[in-house]
Amino acid sequence: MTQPTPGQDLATAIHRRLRRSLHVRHLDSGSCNGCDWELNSLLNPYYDIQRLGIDFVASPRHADLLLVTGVMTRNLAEAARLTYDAMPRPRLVVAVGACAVGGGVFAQTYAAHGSAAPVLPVDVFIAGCPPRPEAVINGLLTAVGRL
Amino acid sequence: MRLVDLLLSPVLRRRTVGYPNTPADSVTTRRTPTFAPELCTDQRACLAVCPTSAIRIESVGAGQRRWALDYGSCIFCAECIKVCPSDAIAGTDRYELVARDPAGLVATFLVEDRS
Repeated sequence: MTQPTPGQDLATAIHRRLRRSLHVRHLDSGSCNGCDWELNSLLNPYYDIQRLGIDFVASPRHADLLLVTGVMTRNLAEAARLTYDAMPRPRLVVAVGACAVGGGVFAQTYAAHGSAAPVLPVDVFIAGCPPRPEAVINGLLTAVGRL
Repeated sequence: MRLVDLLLSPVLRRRTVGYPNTPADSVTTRRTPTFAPELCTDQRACLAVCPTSAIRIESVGAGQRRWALDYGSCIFCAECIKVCPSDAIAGTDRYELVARDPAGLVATFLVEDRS
């Protein structure tokens, strides 16, 4: 019997808590698209996040976890709130990148609220500008531990 | 050598990463700053150059100050690394910057004042 690897641990934890795969909805709340490209790359054959039992879905109604990228703009704060309200429980929110975590370079602009935390109940924060795809996987691993 | 052999050669073949079972197999080109308190000469060039005010320096009692870097605000531009006159800030390959609380992303260092 070999020791389970972190990847197997994650898959087992997801299955134990959700009884199915972890479905992720990506929400861009005013991003520069840097973080969005890193999230896109999670689905490519090189990072292949589906091997861990995680997939991206097209609607918050199908999602267990909300990945928020970008500074929270005033225009999108209400949309972000509605997106969160549409998610079934249990639900998680993960802030990805400097803007969603701490406001980043856009924190002081008139059009932005700043970080995602005052608008959404963020469970896990992933730093980076943008974070490496590995860092996002690491953040999802941390988030699943919170379920 | 046929073209297909070249494409399948270990040099060009990129396989799916092993992460999280194995560490990331390439290093970041954008360096994560880290701080060496014993080298700091308190010239505060980093403070002036940081575009997101991620660096904070505050004095804590007698003969000590606290140098703090908030990775949650840091955009990894490496300007602080470039500008530091005493090379107290260096770049690392650290990328697993994840926390359940924004305060968990703040790295603090205590610096003794030299006089």
